Amino acid sequence: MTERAEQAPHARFRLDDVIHSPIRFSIVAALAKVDSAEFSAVRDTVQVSDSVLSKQVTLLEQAGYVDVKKGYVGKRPRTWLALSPTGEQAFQAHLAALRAIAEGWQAPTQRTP
Amino acid sequence: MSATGTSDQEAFPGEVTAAQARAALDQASATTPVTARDLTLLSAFVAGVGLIVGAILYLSWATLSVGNNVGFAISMSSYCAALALLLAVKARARAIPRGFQRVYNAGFVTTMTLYAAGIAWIFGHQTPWPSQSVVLAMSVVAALPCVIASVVVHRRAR
Repeated sequence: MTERAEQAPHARFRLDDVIHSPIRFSIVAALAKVDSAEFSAVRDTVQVSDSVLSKQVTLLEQAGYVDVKKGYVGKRPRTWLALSPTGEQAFQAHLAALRAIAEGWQAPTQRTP
Repeated sequence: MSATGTSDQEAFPGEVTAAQARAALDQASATTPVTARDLTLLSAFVAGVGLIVGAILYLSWATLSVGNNVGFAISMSSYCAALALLLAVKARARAIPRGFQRVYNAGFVTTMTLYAAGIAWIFGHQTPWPSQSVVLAMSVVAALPCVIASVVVHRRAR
């Protein structure tokens, strides 16, 4: 039997396509620090317009990464954003891939019979 | 050269270089929507809840031990008004730091448990009623868990 060395996939293949976009990455990074945050607070942190944030949050919500809750404080409507458990997991995996790339990832060699 | 085969300065479209990855990681660790104002509002809310629960424990003894039912009713109304004010303060915070709910719940549940135990003990010893200093001490002890939680909230999010 001959032994064959196989390389594990490079860390860049573990980057999350949804989170990888700079704006969405900033949004998810901000939400990872909070239990929840108002739409306006995230907008000010990420430094984008209401319409841009709304569009990106919709994409994240469709991916199941962000939960959106609408309510009222007094008579004023408010929108609250929170990272879902799925989003938290995806973000941590994305960060792990970034760390691997930042540290100069070396492909481990696997030998199969 | 990075493990991707590209240097930090050059990358194919869609590639992430080591420098870009480090920059993204730095940004992720620095980004937070929680402001000092949010921490102040939330800490004030948590401490305030503890203080009004301690206060109502003391006022319940102070009014009912002398048969002042009107005074007791006014105390309870004031407690409800203060609680509504505190909830309004909390609602002004635009971001809730991670872990706040856990810390608040721990402080609130402990304060309310001490309050319930205090009420049960005070009103189970009516002949004679406990002294002012004892009730004052029990009120302070009941308030303490929420006050401690407010300090934790303020410090942890930094």
